[in-house]
Amino acid sequence: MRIDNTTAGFLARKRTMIMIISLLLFMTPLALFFQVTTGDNDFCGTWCPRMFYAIRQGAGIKEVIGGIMRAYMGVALLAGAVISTFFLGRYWCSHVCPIGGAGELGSRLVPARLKIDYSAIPAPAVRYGYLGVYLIAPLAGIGSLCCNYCNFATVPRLFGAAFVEADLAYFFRAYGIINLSLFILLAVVAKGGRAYCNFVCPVGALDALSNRLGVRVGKRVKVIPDKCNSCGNCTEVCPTWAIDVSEKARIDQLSCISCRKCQEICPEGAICYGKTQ
Amino acid sequence: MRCKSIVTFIVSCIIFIFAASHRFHDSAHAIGTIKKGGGKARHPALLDSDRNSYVLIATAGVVPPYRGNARVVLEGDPTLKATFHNSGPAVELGIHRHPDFKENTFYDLRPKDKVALWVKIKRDLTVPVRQATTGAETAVPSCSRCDTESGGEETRQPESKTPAPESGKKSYAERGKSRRGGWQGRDTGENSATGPALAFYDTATNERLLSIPIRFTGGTEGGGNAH
Repeated sequence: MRIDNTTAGFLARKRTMIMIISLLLFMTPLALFFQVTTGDNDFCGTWCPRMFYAIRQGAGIKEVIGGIMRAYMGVALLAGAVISTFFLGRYWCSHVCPIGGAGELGSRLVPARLKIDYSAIPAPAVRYGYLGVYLIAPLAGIGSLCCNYCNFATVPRLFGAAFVEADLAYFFRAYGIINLSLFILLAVVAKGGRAYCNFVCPVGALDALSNRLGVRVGKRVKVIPDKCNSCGNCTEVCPTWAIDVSEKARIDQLSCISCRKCQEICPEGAICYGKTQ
Repeated sequence: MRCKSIVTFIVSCIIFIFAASHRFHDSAHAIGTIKKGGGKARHPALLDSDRNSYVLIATAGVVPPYRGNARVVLEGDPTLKATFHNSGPAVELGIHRHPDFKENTFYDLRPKDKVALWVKIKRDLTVPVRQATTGAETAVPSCSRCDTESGGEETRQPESKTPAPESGKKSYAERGKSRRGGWQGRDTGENSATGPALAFYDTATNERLLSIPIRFTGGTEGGGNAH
């Protein structure tokens, strides 16, 4: 298998800066992105990338289409993320998403000894259990994970709580406290800062499927087996514990977010970003 | 490894199903439309009667051709204390217009505006509430049947033909106490029998634009819409 290597580009080298810029664009107090485009305050409403596919029991085509029309920018955002992932890898998740970025940047402020290592938990099993319940529970009339456990609602309000009383009010209720706790436990004090993304984000779950399905077509972070000496450095830095080094390093494309930390750390240059030919 | 993944998947599903089905009763989200002649609330907000503080999130769209200022009040029995917080940008860049919210009033509402109000409610536990009975009236409707745009099954507000309570002359608590079972000067009958409501009134005509009923349940239901 010959891998067509692409040298570490601007996106990979400047990931931290891109994440910070994303926070400034999406999050309060500026929320530039929303204010300039549709006038919304945050992801709730036109930009919601989660609600339109949490279809309730008995909903007809009209209701489904209505949901898509109400959150048309969220539909576009999700479609853009999934399609770009199919060809380029999960750059939305690793570079642009302000929710994941907030968690990862927050975790960098926490000393390593205080962090929780979730790598013993098989992430795809949790992630697709979550996605399955997310899609089926409202259809079955059991309930919904949509708004009550929404990372796209919680994190912007966490940023806004210091500025907007309505955002602060979000946390004066059980769901607000639970979501804040989840964000702290699964992002801020998680090793790598991405356990939240890896476990309970439906957008990430769909994006991961696209990443996996487009392996033969698009560019991915891959291991060159001949160069790998199984040192395990890549496993240590991977925020989504997507790398297994039982023999040679192997990247699970169902969990890899194309952050390319492994590529930076690999002493043998055995990890690259490119297309499999 | 596969066995571990399967077990993890099953345990995860159980946890997430429980999370999806269990509702917390200290907050609710109510959706409605602000409309001349009386807008529509998708369904009542259901809150647990065992608690003394709640957060009600009220979102509403302004239906054409209404244009004006709308005062927000929490009316009805029992007496509830409320503080209103409008959801808006921290730094208003002025690129898109947003209705201004000051002193419990939305100013310059225009057609197709959307408002999102966070209402922190305090209740005196010594004052009993009329608990919503189980049944069609209070069962949380499936939102598949509720569509404010298609005019589906909803809680319809009667056209407001009687003047709304005059604002500013008495505080909410004072008005609630002045006449047990109803507002002074306005006998709605409906609210005194069915409980409090979050209401929007046009400041110029005192016409009620939207009323979102608030119902208290026995603690096993609640939260409002399952979303």
